Amino acid sequence: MQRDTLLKQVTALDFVTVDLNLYLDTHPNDQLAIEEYNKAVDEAEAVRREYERLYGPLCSFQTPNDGDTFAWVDGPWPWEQEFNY
Amino acid sequence: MWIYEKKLQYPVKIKTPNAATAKVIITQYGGPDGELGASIRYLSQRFAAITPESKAILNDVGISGRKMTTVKKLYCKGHGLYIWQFLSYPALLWINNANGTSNQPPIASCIAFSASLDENRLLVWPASRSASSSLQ
Repeated sequence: MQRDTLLKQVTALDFVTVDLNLYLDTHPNDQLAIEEYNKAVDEAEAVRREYERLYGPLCSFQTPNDGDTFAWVDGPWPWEQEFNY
Repeated sequence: MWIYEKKLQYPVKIKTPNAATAKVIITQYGGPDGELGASIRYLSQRFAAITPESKAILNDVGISGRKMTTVKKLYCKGHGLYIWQFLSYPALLWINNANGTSNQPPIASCIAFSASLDENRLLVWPASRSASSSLQ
C-alpha cells in the first residue's frame, strides 16, 4: 500500500514539474512560475528519494546500487499489471 | 540524451475492455499522424530553431511525444496488454492526431481498456465481448 501511495505521489509531482518545464520554456521570465517550479522540484525529489530507498531505482544509471545484485532489473516494469495502482 | 524512468506518466488500471477504443488509440501510435512521427519532426526542427525558447519547446515537446509512444508501444506488446490514451494534456476532450486535426467524436479524456494483441490481430478479452461505448 505504501508503495502505491509513494508511486502515486512521485508520479503526480513529476507531472507538475514537467508541465511547469513546458510552460517555462516559452515564458522563461515568469518569476511566479519559477518559484512554483522550484517548490515542485523539491517536493518531487523528497518523495522520489523515499520511493527509491524502499522500492529500488527509478533510473538506471544515476542511483548507487545497494546490495550484490543490480536492482534495476528487478521488480515489476511499468507495462506490467502489478506495477500500477 | 534521454533518461528512462521506471514509472508511467499516468497510472493504468483497466476495468472494461473495449475493442473499439483500442482501434482508435492504435491509430495514434505510428504512421504520418501518429505521435512518433510528430516527435521526430519536432526533434528535427529544433536544430533549425533560432530563439532559445523555440529550441527548448521543440526539444521538450518532442521528448514528451516519445513518452506517449513508449507507453502505447510497450502496452501493445505481449499477451496481456493495456493501452493508455494520453491526449497530450488531460483537459482535451477530443482525440486529435499529432497534427492537431480532430476527427473523432468527443470521448472522455482518459480512457483505459485492454486488448490482446496476437501478432496482427486485436482480440478482446473474454470479460467483455460487446464493443460498448461506455468507458471506465
